[in-house]
Amino acid sequence: MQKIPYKTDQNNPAIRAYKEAVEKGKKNQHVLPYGEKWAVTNLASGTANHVFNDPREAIKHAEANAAQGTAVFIHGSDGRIKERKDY
Amino acid sequence: MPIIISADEIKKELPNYSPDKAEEFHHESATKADKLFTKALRESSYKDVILLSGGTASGKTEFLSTQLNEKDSIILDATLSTELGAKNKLRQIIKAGKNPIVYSVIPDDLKRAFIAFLNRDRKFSDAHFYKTHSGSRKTLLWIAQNYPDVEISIVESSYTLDEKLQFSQIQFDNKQKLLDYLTNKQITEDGIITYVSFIK
Repeated sequence: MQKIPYKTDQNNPAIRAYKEAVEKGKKNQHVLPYGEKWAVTNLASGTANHVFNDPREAIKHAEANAAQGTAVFIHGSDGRIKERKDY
Repeated sequence: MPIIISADEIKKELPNYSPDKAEEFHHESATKADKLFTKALRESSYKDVILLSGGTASGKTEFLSTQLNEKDSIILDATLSTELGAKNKLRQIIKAGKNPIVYSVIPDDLKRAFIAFLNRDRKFSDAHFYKTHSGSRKTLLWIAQNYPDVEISIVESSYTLDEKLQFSQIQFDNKQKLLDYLTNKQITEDGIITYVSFIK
């Protein structure tokens, strides 16, 4: 197996839009099941920033810390997104 | 120049469309895309027909805009997430006497694709992400197994630390290695949910 890279124009409008979506998305917060507990994370880091026993506490924390122009994604215990809140 | 057929582009022309309601308009735009595809097969003199494959936000449209934008071919920008859909498209292309080529864009990291998916203008439920990524990989393996003469190009999309979206073509020494690669890439919807929501 061999990987041959393509030369990609990073200023192409479609590429720029994709990159903007990724960078913007890194600032969002996700409330996720974390074992028996609940974590608040930005997904990109892959680490739990804050851990709570009660999902309501986790949501409250994420909402209180949501910056302007970002979103909070609340996941269910099955990992699927239940709600999105834009700020 | 290619003839590009994209349900996402068609949506923009539909009355009352807005990106935050993209999912509601998907059925109508996909139906229109199918009709345009049939028309292009009938009327175009292009011999090659490119079917894009890959889950939503894997980078297909971005790959098309930067790498396929000068190909003299008909290009269908779709996910190919069901075997039935792929079978119908391949049957149509072969019946029209044209040459099907599949370009599959597979992200090196599903989490990055998920982040892009959740934050672009077009809004779909997260189920659409799980369904298209799992389904397109299953369909691609099915095509490779059942249509050995169809050319399949595997393209990996990656996102570098200095924020560049890159594409690489993955080349295989033989067909069996391609099949092995695609077999290893199979993932269920639940597997995707577990992967994208995993945190340390």
